[in-house]
Amino acid sequence: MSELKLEQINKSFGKKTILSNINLSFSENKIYGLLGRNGAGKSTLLNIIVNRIFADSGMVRIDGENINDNDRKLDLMYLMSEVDLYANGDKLSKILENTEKLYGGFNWELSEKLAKKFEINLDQKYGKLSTGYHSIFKLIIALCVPVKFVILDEPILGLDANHRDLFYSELLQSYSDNPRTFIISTHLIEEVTNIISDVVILDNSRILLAAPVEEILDQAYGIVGPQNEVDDYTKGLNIIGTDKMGNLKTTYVYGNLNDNPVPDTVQISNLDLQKLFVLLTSKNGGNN
Amino acid sequence: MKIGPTTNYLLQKQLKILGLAYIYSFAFLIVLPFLLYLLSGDISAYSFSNALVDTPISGIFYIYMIVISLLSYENFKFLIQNGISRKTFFISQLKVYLIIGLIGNIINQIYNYLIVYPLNMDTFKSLSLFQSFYENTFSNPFLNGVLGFVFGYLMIMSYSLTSMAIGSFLSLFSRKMQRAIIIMIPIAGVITLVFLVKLVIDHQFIDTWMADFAKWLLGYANDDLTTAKPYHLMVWCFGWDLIMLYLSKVFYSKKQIKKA
Amino acid sequence: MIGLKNMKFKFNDTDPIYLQVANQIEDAIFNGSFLEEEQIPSTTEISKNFHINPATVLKGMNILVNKSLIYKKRGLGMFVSKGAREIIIEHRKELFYDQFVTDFVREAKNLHISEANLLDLIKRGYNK
Repeated sequence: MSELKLEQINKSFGKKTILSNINLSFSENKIYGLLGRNGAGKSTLLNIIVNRIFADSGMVRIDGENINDNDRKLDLMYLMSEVDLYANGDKLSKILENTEKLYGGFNWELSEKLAKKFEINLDQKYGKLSTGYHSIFKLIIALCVPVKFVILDEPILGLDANHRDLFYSELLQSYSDNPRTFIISTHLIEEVTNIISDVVILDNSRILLAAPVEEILDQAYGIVGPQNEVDDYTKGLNIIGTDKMGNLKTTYVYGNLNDNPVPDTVQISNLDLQKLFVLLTSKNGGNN
Repeated sequence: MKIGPTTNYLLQKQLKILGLAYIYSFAFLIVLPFLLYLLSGDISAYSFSNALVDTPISGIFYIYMIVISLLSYENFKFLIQNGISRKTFFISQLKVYLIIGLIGNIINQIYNYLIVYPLNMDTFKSLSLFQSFYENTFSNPFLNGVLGFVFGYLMIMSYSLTSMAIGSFLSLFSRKMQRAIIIMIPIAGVITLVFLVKLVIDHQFIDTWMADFAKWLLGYANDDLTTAKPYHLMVWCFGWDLIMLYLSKVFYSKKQIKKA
Repeated sequence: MIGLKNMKFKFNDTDPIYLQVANQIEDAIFNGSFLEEEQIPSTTEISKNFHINPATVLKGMNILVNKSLIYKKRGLGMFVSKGAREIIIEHRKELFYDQFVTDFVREAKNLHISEANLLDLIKRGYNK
């Protein structure tokens, strides 16, 4: 079993704290969603994981070994990110060959299939591609390199709805054929809600939540009804937000409900991940 | 460690550029003048042997080495994307420099001994440092040839490793900062030069320690050019190489991906 | 094998996804989209088509395996059990009172529909 572990990672740029005391663990063959608002530090965190930049303190380990300057461990990860680390003048097919050389393996069968499905011509130069096709090309590599941790930072940047759909399908096919760990950072939460098994929410440079999706949604509730009765029922619960329309009030709760009887006029339903995320991370959405 | 594939990758890429550098230089310095003479109708004025002698074959290598070293961040980007560590990058790049330095040295030596020297025996124009000073270190011309080869390799490696250190140092900064540094260095150089010249004029140059040092470095004995020995310079180069190597290692270990 | 087109997945926000997967397949068996002794779509196919984590799909399938509605043929995939539809019908009959009748009667009472009226309405529904 391979485990990727982050221990007390801290990072700031100048006076701005980007990450503060991050402890996380990614275990084998799960699909993680890394969620956070713009500037929450997602990309910085991912860049630290693959040793592209250094943390101010703390350590990233795979199976107990520090990944810093460690080929054997860096070799187990691939980070697809918005920053282009491929040379504009290089031909796509050449990049794939060199990638195989350095990773020591490459799934050519899959890359050929994906190139056909996404209609990308590998005889072009990298610099000639549009933003969307930059993403597509990097996604193809990400799915074809022999790594244990596929890390995708905003993978669907610039992709249209059809290509996004195709990407999610191919991701799941590839995952079924060859189970490994995926870490996906994205803004489009709804699209990955059912794909990810675990969620990590980064907010204000800290980990707000890290748990299986099912477990999280199991304790996220929307309680709707007449204001007084809703207020009575939710007294003492962990309230993360409210909505009001006239006398009809919705109170959002994260955590266990109490044993109080639920009034007939009050309805309780579960929240979806997107709604929960918005409530937990908005500055003024939740009361305290 | 992935030193094998990384060395392979870098070598292939950088050898290709070296080949292009020589081909383009040949085209610009020899073929282009020929074509110009041809067009002007004054073909008899063109001397192929002069053009060959005037081609700064070692200069081409030096310019190439600067360019390669300044591209070190580009290589870092691709290698770290492919899970190659800084340490492996450093060791592989060093190996590639050693190989390319050897190739450059062989080309220089062949060019000097087989083309420049025979064509230019009388004038002593365009001779290498070694040929000018240390040609008669041994009485055996074969040994002198070997020494010349080793000497040339050491010089070329000193230059290469200096480029490596400078290139990797610059790669730690943002583009803007790099430009500032590249502009600052020549200015600082000129100021230092002016200062040195002033120093030489104010004090008698011969008496300064600098002159003594220079003489020691070049291996002058009894103020006689013909008996100079290259050993001091070679030891100096070797020491210099070690320092540059250490600096490069430190700079390589500090490389990071910059924000877009 | 039966195509995925026969499964019309409509997901809601409230139930856990694995439960919804189980319910949708059960519905498909109940309404005859998936026939007994025929193969149903694989975990990967469902996962790919509806963008659901394969582990979640598998969890849903296991519910049906435990209810003996589907079974695994080694190396081939999942098949609808013989008698699956009967099991579903029996089960749903048991739930009919709790799931439908109580709500139905409560709403009738709210609307002041008498028992006799309600029975008339039911007859009308049957004869339609």
